[in-house]
Amino acid sequence: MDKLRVAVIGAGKMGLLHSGIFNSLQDCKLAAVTETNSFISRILEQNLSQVKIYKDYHSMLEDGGMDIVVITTPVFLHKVMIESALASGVNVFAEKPLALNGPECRSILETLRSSKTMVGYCRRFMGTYKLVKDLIGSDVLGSPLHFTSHLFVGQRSEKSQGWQYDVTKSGGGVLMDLGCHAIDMFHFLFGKIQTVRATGNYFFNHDIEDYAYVDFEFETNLKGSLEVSWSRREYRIPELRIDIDFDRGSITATEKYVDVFSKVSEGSIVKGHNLFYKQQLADKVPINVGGQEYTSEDLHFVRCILDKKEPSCNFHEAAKTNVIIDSIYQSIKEGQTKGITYLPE
Amino acid sequence: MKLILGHNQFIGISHISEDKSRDREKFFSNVENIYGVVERASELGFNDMIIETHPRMLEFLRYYKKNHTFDMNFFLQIPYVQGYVQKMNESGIKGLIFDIIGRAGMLNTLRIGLKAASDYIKKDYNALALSALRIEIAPFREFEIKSLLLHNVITDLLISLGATDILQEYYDFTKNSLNLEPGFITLNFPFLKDVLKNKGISPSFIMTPVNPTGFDMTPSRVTVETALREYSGSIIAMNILGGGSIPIKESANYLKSFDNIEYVVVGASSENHLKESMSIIRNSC
Repeated sequence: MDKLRVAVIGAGKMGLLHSGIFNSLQDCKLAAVTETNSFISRILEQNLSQVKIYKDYHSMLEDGGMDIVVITTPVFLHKVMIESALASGVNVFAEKPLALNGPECRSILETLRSSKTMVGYCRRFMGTYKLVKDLIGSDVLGSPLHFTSHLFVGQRSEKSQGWQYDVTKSGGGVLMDLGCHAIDMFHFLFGKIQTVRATGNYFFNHDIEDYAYVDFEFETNLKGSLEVSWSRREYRIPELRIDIDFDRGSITATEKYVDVFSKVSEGSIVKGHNLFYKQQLADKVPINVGGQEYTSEDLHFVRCILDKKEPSCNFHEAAKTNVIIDSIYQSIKEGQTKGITYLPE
Repeated sequence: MKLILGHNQFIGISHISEDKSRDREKFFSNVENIYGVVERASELGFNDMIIETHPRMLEFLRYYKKNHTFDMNFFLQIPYVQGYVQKMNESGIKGLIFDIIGRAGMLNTLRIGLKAASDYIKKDYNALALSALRIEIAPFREFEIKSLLLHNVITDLLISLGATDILQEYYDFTKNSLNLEPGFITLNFPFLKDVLKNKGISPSFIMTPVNPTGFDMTPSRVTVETALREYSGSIIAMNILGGGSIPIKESANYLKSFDNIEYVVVGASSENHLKESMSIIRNSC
C-alpha cells in the first residue's frame, strides 16, 4: 500500500510536532509544509529535502496529491483553510479549537462531505483520563453525582501583543486557548452539557479574559464546575484536575495520576484508594516527540482513515466545544445562565 | 555504574504530580536549598550533576562558585525548551531573543552576534541556530562542563522529521568549535542509534530512559533493550524509577544487566533519598 501523503499548514510549535509524528508513522509520509514566514520556510527548505515547502496553502492544495492536511495555524485562519482543504477532498486534522465560534463551525460542517476529520483535543489520548472514561462506563463507582475542576497554567503574567490578544483573531482568552480542552473533556466523560453560568476576569488585556469560572449542568442532571486561568504562576505546565463524586466512591484525575476511592471491590479496583500513574497507563507508541498523547491522536486519525471509521473527536464533536464557549461568553456578558444551541448533527 | 544527580526537582518538575512540583518549586526557589542537597550528594560520593540552562540553575552555579567546598562536574542540557515556550507565549519571538541576550550579557552577544549576522547574510540558518546556542551557553562556560546534552524535544523532533544533518552539525560544532563533549538525550533510542551509525557519529554520551516497566522507552522496552545491547557507546540511564512509580531496588537489579550504562541519573531532593539511592545502587550494580 502507498503511504498516505501528509501536508502541514503552519510550521509553528504544533505544526513541527505533527510534521515529525506523521512523518514517522508507518502508513504516512510528510510530503509538504506550508509556512508564510520566509525565515522559517528557508530553514525548512535547507533541512527537509524530501518535503515540498510552500508559502501559500492554495498552491499546495492546487498541486493536489495529498491524503491528509493538518492545520496548525492561528485559529482565525482555520475556517477558510479547513473549507478549502475539505473542498479539495482531503482528510483534515485541525489543532484546537475548531474555529472562532459556532457560526464558523456551522459553515465548516456544511462544507463537510466524506472526508475524515479530527481536532487535536489531545487529553482524550492520555491514559489517566481514558481510565476515568472507562470507570464511568463500567459503573463500578455508580453514577457521577458532582464534579469540580480546574485547568491552570502560569504562562501569561503581563499585557502582551500578538494575534492571541486580539479577540477578532483568537475568539477570546484563556477559555478559547486552554478551557476548550476541559470542555471537550467534560462532554467526552459526562455527555451533553445543557446550561452554563460563568464569570470572567480580565487582568492584563482589555477584552481577553485571563480567568473564568463556569458552572455546568448536564442532560443527565449532573452538575459541575471549572476554574480556568493561564496566570497561575505556580503551575509550570497546564494541569486539568477533575474531582468527581460518585454513589460508591470518588475520582481525582490529572494528566499525571488518577486516585480512585471505592467503597467496594470490583475487577481491578479494590475497596479504598487505588492510585494509577500515567507511567502505567500510557499507550505504547511508535515514536515519542513531545508526549505520547500526540502520537496516539495522530495514529488514531490514520487508523480511522484506513479503517473507514469516525475519529473520536471529529469536527461535529469538536464544534460542540465552540458553541458551549459561545454560551459561556454570553453568560459572562449578561450575568445569566445560558442554554446551549447545538449545531445539527 | 556511577550516579549523576538529576536537576528536575530543583526547577520544580515532578513526573508524579503537580502538587509535588509546586512544593519543590517553592523549596528550591531558594538556591541555598539546592546547594544543600548538592553538598550532601557530594559528601555521599556524587561527582556529577545534570543542569539545564534555566535561570535558577545559573543562579545556583554562581552561588556554588562563591561558596563551594567540594567539586562537581556538570552535564549541561540545552536548550531551555520550557522557558522558551513560555517566553514565546508571553512576548513572541522578539521577547525570547531579548531574554536570551539578557542572560548571556551584552558583550557575549555582541561578540557572537557578529558571526550570527554573517550567517544570516549567507542564509546559513543552521549556523545561525548554532550561534544562538553559543549565546545561550555563554554564561555557563566558566564552570566545569563535562558534556553538552541536546534536549530530547529537539533530538527527537529532528529524528522524526528526518532532519538529521542538523544533528551532525550540532555534533561537529560542539566538538570542534565549543571544544565540549557532545551528547544527546532521546526518548527514541533505537532511532537515534541508527541515525548515529549512518552518520558515523560517536557521541560521548546518550541519555535515555531505561527502567523495568518500559516507561518512555519508545517504541517498546524490548526494542530499546536490544538496541542498548548492540550499542557500544556510553549510556546515561534516566527515568530509572519511571518518574517515581518503580521501587529503586527493582530498577537497580534491572539496570545491572546492561554493560554500557556508565551513569544513572538520580533525582533526589532530600538527604534520605540520596542515601537510599546511593546505597541500593552501589550494592546492586
